[in-house]
Amino acid sequence: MKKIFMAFLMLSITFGSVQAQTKQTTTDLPNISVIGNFLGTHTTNETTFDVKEIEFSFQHYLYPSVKADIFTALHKEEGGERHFELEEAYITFSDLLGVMIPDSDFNLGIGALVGKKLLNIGKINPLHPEQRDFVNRPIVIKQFLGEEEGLSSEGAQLSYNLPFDFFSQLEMGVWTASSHEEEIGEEHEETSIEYSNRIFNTRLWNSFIIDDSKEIEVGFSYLIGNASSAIDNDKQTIYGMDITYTHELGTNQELKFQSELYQALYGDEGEDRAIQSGGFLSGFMKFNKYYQTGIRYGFLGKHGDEGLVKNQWSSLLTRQLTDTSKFKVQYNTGENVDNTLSAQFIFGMGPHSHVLQ
Amino acid sequence: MYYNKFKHLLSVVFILTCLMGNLYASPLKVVAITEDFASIATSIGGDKIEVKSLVKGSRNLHDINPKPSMVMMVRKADLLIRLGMDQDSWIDGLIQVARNNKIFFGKNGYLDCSHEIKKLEIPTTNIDGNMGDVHKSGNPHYWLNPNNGKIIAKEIRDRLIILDPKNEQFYSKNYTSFARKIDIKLNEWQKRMAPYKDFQIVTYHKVWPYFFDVFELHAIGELEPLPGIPPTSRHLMSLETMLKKTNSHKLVLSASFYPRQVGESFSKKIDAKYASVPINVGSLGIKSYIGLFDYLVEEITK
Repeated sequence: MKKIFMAFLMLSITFGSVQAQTKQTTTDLPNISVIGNFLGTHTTNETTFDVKEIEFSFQHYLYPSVKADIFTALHKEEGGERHFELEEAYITFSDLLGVMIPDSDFNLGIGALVGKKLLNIGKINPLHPEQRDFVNRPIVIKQFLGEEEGLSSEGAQLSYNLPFDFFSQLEMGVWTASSHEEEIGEEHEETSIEYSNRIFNTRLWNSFIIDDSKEIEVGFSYLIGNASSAIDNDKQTIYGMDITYTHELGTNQELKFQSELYQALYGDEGEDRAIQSGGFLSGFMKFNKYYQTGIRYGFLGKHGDEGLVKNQWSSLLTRQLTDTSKFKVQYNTGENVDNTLSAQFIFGMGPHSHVLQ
Repeated sequence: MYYNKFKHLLSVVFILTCLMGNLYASPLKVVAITEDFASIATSIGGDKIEVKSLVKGSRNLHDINPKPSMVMMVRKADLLIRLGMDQDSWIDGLIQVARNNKIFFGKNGYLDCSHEIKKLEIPTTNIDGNMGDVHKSGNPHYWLNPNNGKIIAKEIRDRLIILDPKNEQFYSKNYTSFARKIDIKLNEWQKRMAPYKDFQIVTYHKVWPYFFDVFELHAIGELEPLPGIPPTSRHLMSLETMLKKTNSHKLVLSASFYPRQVGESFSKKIDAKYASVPINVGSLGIKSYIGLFDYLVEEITK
């Protein structure tokens, strides 16, 4: 019943907006978008096709420099159940002082964010499926930060651009991790990642210009709390480093290398703590407006003395159909991972946008 | 003793005054989306402003990946000049990350130059992907009409006067000079382009409506079957059949960031002149907004 009501509400708002846009009237409706993620996979054991996710986004400025972003989604889980979920809902204050003292011209440069958000740990975790280069997330990210949905939490974050001649942004957040809820009939189940602890995360994101066409980004992330998908209620400390090198080769041609390395320590200080490491390295080439290709190597070490070492190779071909729709084919193979062929079609309707990440 | 304290105080006041003086004397930092807008801003602001552009050279503004280095420019800007018309929505993300309250929407440091432009090709019906990538706010390539360059210059002049009123006369004088130069050059460009009014012109993409408007040229089709959809053999064949029926002179015109090969081979098939040209300042040694039109007119008419 709740699902039907939610769907009805979404459709009412969406059609209201469309009608208003059609008539070219001035409205105070938010920007409303729909993103579809259709995914087909083939492994040695099974072949599936899923309407994996339909995302509805609502974006609107509430006040100069205060923006609300809400992303809800209809997900399909591995069991075949479909559920509505609040993926992200946050308010961004780009000028915290200006909101408190509107007459002030002083620029403190501190931004704040409150609400539920995919945490800024590395470059991949905060991305939605339509923003990612590859169909799926690397095995290390899945292990440390949750499966395909990523690690999102409710709380607050402060951001500050450090006063250097290069881009350097420091972010610090305190969060209560959100469990991944499913609605099955009248019951609720919590699956996948279980979180009960507070999470503290910090990220230092730097970027250096090599020349007009080349740029290198280096980020350092730190997280303490329970963010493990492997063991319930296990405290983790995660250290991460990410490097992204982009080279614009010409109009609509770009080469990108990206790597993220993580190490997780499980348990509290003073205990016998297990260590697990992992990372990935990817290369991505955009030939022109329409075709892109990529290759990725990912690895994940043992959880202490347990489990298996995993290695995964992925290759990708993307065909960009329009500005808002693309088709991707990806093949994954490796050691202790399934050989998987994935085909994904992602499309967008409406003026959906994300902040620079 | 009091005399010494007074001397120290006087020194501090003197140093602070010098520092403040330096601060006020420093040029306004202007960040423009492309080098076209940067060039116009330089014509108006001269040495009173320091101009940078986010996008260098001739680029399809659809396909810009915002980068952290752009945040650095926006963060220090006193004035941000945008194209607007939903074409540069990626700048919103830069503003959000830069957290520079001078250039937030509605502030004096935020300038969307499209406001006073008479916009072309605003859709009158519902739009969707069935029509290709249609811009809901109209065709955004408005800087390609030199008369719109004067409107952009006027907007920049007005904003610079608000931000730096003591140099009002300087900005006004520069605007008058810029507008006069455009008028003189436009007359010259129009004379040179006049023979092309009778040409049958095919463009790669709908980049040129504002350019065609000012020079009274007529596009009879695009190589793209729909905006943003790459040319197909079937579409090119039907275009070829249509064009071969006429004896008029023909021109295939393309922005240089579109694939050259398609336009070149199509122009040979229909025995047309072919021009692949940049549409922004910064490419192929084009140094100014007026220089852009000098180049375009020269390339089309040679």
